[in-house]
Amino acid sequence: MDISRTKYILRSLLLQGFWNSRKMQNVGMLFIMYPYLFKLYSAYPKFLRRAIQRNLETFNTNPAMVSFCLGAVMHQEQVLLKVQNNLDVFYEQEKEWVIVRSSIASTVASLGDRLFWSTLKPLSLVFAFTVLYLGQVYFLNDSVQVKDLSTIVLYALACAFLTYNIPVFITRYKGFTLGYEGNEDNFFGLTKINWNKLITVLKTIGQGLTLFVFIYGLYFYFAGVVVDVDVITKVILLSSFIILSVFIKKWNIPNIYLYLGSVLVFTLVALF
Amino acid sequence: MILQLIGFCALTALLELDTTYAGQLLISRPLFVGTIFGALTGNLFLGLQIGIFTELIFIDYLPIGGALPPSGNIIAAMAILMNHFFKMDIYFAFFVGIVCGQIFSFVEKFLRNKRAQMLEEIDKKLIEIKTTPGKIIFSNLALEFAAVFVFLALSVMIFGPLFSYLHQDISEKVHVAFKFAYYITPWVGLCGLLLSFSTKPKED
Repeated sequence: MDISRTKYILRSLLLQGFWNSRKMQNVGMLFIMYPYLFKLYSAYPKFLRRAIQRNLETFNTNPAMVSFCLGAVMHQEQVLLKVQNNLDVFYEQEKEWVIVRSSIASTVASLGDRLFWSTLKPLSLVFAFTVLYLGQVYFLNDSVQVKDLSTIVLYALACAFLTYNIPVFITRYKGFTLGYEGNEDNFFGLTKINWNKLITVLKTIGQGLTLFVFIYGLYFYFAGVVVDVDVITKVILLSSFIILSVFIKKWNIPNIYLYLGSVLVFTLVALF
Repeated sequence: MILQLIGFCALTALLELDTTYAGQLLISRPLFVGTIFGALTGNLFLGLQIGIFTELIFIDYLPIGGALPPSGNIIAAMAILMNHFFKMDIYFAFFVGIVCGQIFSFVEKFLRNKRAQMLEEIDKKLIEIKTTPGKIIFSNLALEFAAVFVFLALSVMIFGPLFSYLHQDISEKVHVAFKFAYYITPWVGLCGLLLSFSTKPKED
């Protein structure tokens, strides 16, 4: 592959630079492809304009996994270049280009959203929580008694940053090669990785660590507290809200409404 | 104080670009923003806590497709700025942050629709090679930065003095209500986090 991956991966960081509600990431996608299209069609201005027009069609995928689409689309552009002298074949291939681009974009979007947004992002947060708790920074309490708070916080932030960004950049690099070298049989490299297994493993790790933070957090939240009416009321209210949050999750109501509802209810109770 | 506020608003606006438009390295996630702003305002623990609480309360909002979750970056930044510069109690500041984050998602929706309206003309210019996608993207980033900066500056100018004016009249009971709602937030969030990890894909 004679393409500088780093250049295109860096450009792909601006995929959503002109996100709009009509064609979503279309300008961003053209921005990434721009030098490649110029290199490919520099001697054919008419084909260049057509390629720009083609690349400006609606595009929407997960930014972390866009390199799969990039590799595949670049490959398809080369196929188009080869058949440019036979217009009938060219138009046929162009239709194929549209199908490949949209189908890979939607598949990658679905995978990327599940892997990066629903799994890795919260997992990186839980890793940070674990580092904080192991460093005795009990962030659920009102105050903290740790001598070197900034060092532990720095470790936690680094952990969250790296846990998310290392897999993102590995996927960006690997996806580019797989997409470029792949074909329709292996869906441009996507079927070479068992995504479901990966997501399941990561979610299981996340579940275990969250449970650890939850139990450890509860223990330190109530450690040393003298049991009186206030504490019992607090425990009852806290338990009620935890149970309520399970139900509202089942009804697909975001947590924020529970917070806003609790503000409203507590204020009304307090005032009247 | 004004210069400091301008600096904080500019930093938030710069970080906001990371949420959608440039990078998406998650340096704009509330955990980072809260901690950085906490360190800069001299209360690292409070900043960290605000960042974590914001992350947890919005754990079930995903920026999938055209979905527009409230900006965690703006929520964390506003909460810390209100607390530091206007001595707003953290539980009120958190609430104000959430309100601002929610309002900003409408501003963001408006900007996205505006861009969609301009798209036809931009597409034409791009096809005729009268401009480059780079120029369009960088001018959009500058515009987005300016929009976030103005939004934050206005929010600070409205909510800060408003709180200072109302502060004396807020009853102690309301303080207790907001404080308790603030402290149940992470527990509800942790529960949501645990449940979100429970939804696993079926094996092929």
